[in-house]
Amino acid sequence: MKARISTININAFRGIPQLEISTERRSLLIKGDNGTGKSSIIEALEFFFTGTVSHLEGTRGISVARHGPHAHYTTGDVKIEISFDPGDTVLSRTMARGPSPNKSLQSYFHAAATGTFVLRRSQILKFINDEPADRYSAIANIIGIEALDSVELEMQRLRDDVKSEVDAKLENINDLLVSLSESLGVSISSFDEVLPALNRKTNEYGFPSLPTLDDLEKYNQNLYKKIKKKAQGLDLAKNLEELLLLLHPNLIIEERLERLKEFGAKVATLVNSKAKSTMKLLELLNTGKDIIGTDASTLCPLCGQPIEKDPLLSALESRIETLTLLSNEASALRQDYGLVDKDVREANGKLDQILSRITSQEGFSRLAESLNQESQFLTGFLESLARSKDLVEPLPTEVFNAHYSELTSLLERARQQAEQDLQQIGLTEDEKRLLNFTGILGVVNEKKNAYQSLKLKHETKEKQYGRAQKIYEAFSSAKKSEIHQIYAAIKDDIQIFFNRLHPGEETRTIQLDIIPTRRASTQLLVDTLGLNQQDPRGLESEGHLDSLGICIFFAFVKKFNADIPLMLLDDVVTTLDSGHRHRLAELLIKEFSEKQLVVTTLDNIWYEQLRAAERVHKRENEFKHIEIVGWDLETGPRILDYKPAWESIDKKLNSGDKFGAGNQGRSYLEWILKNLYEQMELEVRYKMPPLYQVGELLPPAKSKILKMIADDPFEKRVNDSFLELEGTSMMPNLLSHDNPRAEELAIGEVRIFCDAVRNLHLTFSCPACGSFLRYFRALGLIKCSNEECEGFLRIKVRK
Amino acid sequence: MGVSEEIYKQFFAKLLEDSTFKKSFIARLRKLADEGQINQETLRTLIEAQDSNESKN
Repeated sequence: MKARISTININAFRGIPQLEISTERRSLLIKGDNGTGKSSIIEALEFFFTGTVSHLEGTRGISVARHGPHAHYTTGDVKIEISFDPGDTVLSRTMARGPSPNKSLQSYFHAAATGTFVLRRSQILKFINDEPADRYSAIANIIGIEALDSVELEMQRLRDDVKSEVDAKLENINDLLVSLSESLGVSISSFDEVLPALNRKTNEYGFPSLPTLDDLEKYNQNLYKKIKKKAQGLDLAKNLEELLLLLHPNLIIEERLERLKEFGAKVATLVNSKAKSTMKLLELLNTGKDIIGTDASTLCPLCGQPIEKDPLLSALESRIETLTLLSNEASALRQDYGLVDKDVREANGKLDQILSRITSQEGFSRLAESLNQESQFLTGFLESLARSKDLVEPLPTEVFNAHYSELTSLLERARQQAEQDLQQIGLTEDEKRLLNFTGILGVVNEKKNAYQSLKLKHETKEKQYGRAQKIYEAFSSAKKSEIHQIYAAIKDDIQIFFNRLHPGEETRTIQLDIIPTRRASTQLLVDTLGLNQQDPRGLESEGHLDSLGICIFFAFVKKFNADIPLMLLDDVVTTLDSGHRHRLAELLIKEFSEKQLVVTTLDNIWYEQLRAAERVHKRENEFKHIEIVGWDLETGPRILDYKPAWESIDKKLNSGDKFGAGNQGRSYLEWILKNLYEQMELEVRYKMPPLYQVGELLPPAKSKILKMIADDPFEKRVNDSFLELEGTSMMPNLLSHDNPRAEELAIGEVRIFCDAVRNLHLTFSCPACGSFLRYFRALGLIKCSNEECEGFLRIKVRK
Repeated sequence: MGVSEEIYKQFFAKLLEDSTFKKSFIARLRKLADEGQINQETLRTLIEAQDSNESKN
């Protein structure tokens, strides 16, 4: 026998403070208006099996941890407890700990954790109406691979970043060769050409050739010592020479400044388009908010579904951000970033070198101060660059230009002063020539060391890029290939289901596939009305689109979730017409007869059609029907004919949960009153909605029953039971506005109320079997309603 | 087998075919995947660690 759910016990989750539903292995058909907590039941089941609620995750600012607990409870109060049959296994999930299924339930849980068993109307809408990227996202949600998208994105971003680092290192190397060419006065295209070029230079100056570049530093030191013996003030002159070499070229060459400008323009375009989209969406939301705001409704004016404005806005912003970051432009921008970051970083490095020389030089203190400020600006600008790469803000290019212009002017002043100071030292022409030569040797030596280090780093980065690229490609292609296979595997079922829902209509061929050139995109096309490969949104009615979405889900469930004996459908038929709903009911009852279904709906016709399909296929005993007649934050969904278990109330009383116990006690009293009116045939005057409340029904029930009874001991017991209840501290609240306000009471007072409610129930229960007593008009007496009961209780009734 | 598991299976099979990746590297990546810890930082650390191990060997 396959495992099935026999009891669902929900505590402090979403819109439900406490609710116990006994399914007795049957499927559940739940009817209720918008905002009555139907979806909370579905969410509790999803949370129990998966530890999450899919539509609460993946959106910034929304999570199960934050939005899972009921508004009056904390994370620690959340508990979903489910009993399974056979085996009478009871498992629970809290926020901190998941269920530990035994061996017989392990495959059920594994399949539920990895597969698809929940369909919501929002998913259908998203699937059909959105762009390929969003449609893919809906499928990813259905087949449970949303998390893999972010993994893929992380891989892609790492690849982009490492690629940018490789490009930056390569450009550094090329810059070094350009710099060496300038120093040696010949064009050098590879590092192997440096030694021959340097030796030509040493020979020009009348010095011997160097065998290798390894000895360059020592060679230069010896030469410098020789010159220093003859010349005065050579150290100062050397420092000034080196300073002049640093001051000679621009900090950033013209074409790289242009590159920085282009980068800034790209950032501005992307940030601007992002802002425009956000503005449009905000406009849309604000319009909706204005419409809803007039009657403070939380329902969408278009589809009548409950909406939460803040999470919706957050979801849209998050969607814009993800799509913007995913776009090819954003990817290219991330790759360009490495080069511009390198340019600014190099400029700042060079400025630091200049500053370290200027600081030790007399007469440069004011210049040093100004240059130091510009260096600080460049450091801050590097942070702006990093933020602009992620499109957090535009790049302040104009501010940079102003600072760079000031910096160029300061450097020119430094150069003039250095030349003037050097002139004043009074070296001979020969000394100047030799000093210039040792300067060249120094520069070549410095560049040689830098080159060797960079070459090594570049090779390492190349390897890392190769790996990052391979990892991304392997993951991306595995994902595309698997999803392609999934689509191919379910294509026939989608078609079959769709034809069954739409018999005798124009033939449609449905195609579903990934877009190979794009990351995370899915196209949905139909051949219909003589046209091939058409976007269904252009040709199909909203009802057809909805049923197409449902068929796709059914195909997914049939193909991939055979191991999950559970399927949850949350309000999925809003736009289907009656004929199609009827066929959908038939399809569901026949095709998924092996599954335990939980179907919620606000639609009375669909509810009745499903019940009719149950009867036609002789499966009415396999379904339990629940009607939710109201909801409020304190009590949660108010289910017609709902009686909380006394054990549950007692447990809450013992644990000090006066709020939970008070609410359940009230639900218990509602159930007793409903039964009293029905079983005792008490007349109730017709009243326009809203429904009668406890406080309105209790006094007339007492008065009518006492008038009926002609048995003194029972009359006394009934009177005492009602008096006991009326005397409790909670009753004034119930009588006044149907709100127990249990938080103002002591736990002892709540217990007195609950005990009185229970006593009232016991008064009207058969002492032999516990069934509710019933008035038998023809017999003129009250006795047990259970025909099989052998109890002897008989209570006379006045004529 | 769930869709996610199948994708990871194919992914790791592709990496195993590639001699660029050592088995120890793939094992560490698999561990990250199992723990749901694959992100830019962890991947970068892993990739850089392979270089450092190679240079030691």
